[in-house]
Amino acid sequence: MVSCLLGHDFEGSFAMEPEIKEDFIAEAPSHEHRKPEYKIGIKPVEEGIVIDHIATGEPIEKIWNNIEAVRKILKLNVRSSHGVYHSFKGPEVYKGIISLPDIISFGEKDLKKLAAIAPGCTLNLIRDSRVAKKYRLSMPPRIYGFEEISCKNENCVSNPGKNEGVVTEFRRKSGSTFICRYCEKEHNFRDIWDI
Amino acid sequence: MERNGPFKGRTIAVVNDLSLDEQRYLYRKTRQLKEAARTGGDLKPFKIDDRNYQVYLIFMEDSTRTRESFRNAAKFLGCRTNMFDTATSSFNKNESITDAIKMLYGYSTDSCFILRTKLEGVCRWLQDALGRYAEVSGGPVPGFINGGDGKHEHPTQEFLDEFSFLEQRSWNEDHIHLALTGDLYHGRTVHSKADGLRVFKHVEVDLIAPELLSMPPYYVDKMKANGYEVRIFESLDEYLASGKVAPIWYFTRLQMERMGEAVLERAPYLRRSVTFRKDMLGLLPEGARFYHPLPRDRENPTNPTATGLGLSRSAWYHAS
Repeated sequence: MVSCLLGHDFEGSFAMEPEIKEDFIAEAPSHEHRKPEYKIGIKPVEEGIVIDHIATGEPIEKIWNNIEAVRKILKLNVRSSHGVYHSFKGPEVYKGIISLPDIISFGEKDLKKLAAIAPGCTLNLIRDSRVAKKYRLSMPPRIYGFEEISCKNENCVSNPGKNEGVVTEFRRKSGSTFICRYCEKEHNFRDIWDI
Repeated sequence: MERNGPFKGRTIAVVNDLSLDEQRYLYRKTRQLKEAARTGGDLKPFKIDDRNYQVYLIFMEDSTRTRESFRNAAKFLGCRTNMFDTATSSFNKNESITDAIKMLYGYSTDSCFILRTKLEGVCRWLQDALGRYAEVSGGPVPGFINGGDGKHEHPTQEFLDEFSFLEQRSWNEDHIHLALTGDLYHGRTVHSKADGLRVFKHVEVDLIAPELLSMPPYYVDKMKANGYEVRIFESLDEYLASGKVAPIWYFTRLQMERMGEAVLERAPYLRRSVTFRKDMLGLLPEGARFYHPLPRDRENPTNPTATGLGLSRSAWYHAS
């Protein structure tokens, strides 16, 4: 079949790659008239970026871990602050916030990376003490091409130890489960990252 | 015969790389070839007979059955064939397989690579990498066929199994009731049934294995998601007492070499649970058939009564 000798009398559907919708970054209304509420325990930002709703609803330890993952992977080694705070979603619901007064722009690649580390978070661009732009980031359908990710199956062709130069790629299966494009091993999205 | 069919440059890394329609087409063509060979009919339409078409057989781990199926098929098809195996090639040196394949690709105008390795996902990667390479170099896109990649997949074996089931069902795709037994935990051939059996419209699968050798939940869930009716049993005795026994049985070898010591200590019990005894014969439905992908364990086969002639013969037609 693959030599193309056969197939002239084939009728039916060919195998198709599944369609991937890349709509996991959405710009949300920024309510310019309101001042941002990042005040309790965190210095209000006049100009800069605030990453909000990190790991909302998770146990507190996991929220701290997620904050740490965001900082490490995005290399946020700048003047900044962060913390775990109450969420407005309920009395026992917590969330993480990172405030970055020195960063005024955020590239698309970093935005995609952030979505893949902390899905569900929002990124707020603050100008003149107000939210000028807000992005809601949801779980991406694919996580690929970042240096900080790898397949954890040591027999996989894409495993860094195999040195085949494979560009690592994961596709979302359902919920927070991703599968390696090559060996199809399932990973929770947090295990994809090498930190 | 002119080679300009619609499957040019296709890679078969996993079962689902062929759509259900394509799988059915493959089974139909295999059936035609088998029939022509059996009755002394014209085999020419099935032969490539082109020395410019290069088949590379790259066997980085030993596998007598798969290697011989493909080698004989390539010989029958009449294409140029090169074999690389662990004994005679440098493939197992610390060399990049991607680079080695790029080099081989450069030597021929039209090629197909058949790989058997421990490197899981290697065919999908080579499809990506050589696809880009072919685009840049302006050459034809090479095809890759997975002849088994570690614990991941062995799609051509799955196609062969389904062909055998269809043959036994007189090509009726409406329904199959199948018992899978033996080492359902390690057995790649039973895992791939979760995809391969989709060729049947209504699937009933009975999984028979003690808990230590049971089918991983991932595959059970996949079977259920594909609409199969799944029943689970701990031993053949329990299964045969259930009152509803499948007419098709698929046995696999207990892969003791891959088990830990705690499991090995219980080996006699595990074997007993999934080994068919002669006194069970009377409990089978009329016309029941046993299948085993072979090879069986020399000392303790789970099915001492089966013969493998049918499967290896079909494997040859299929690989062709």
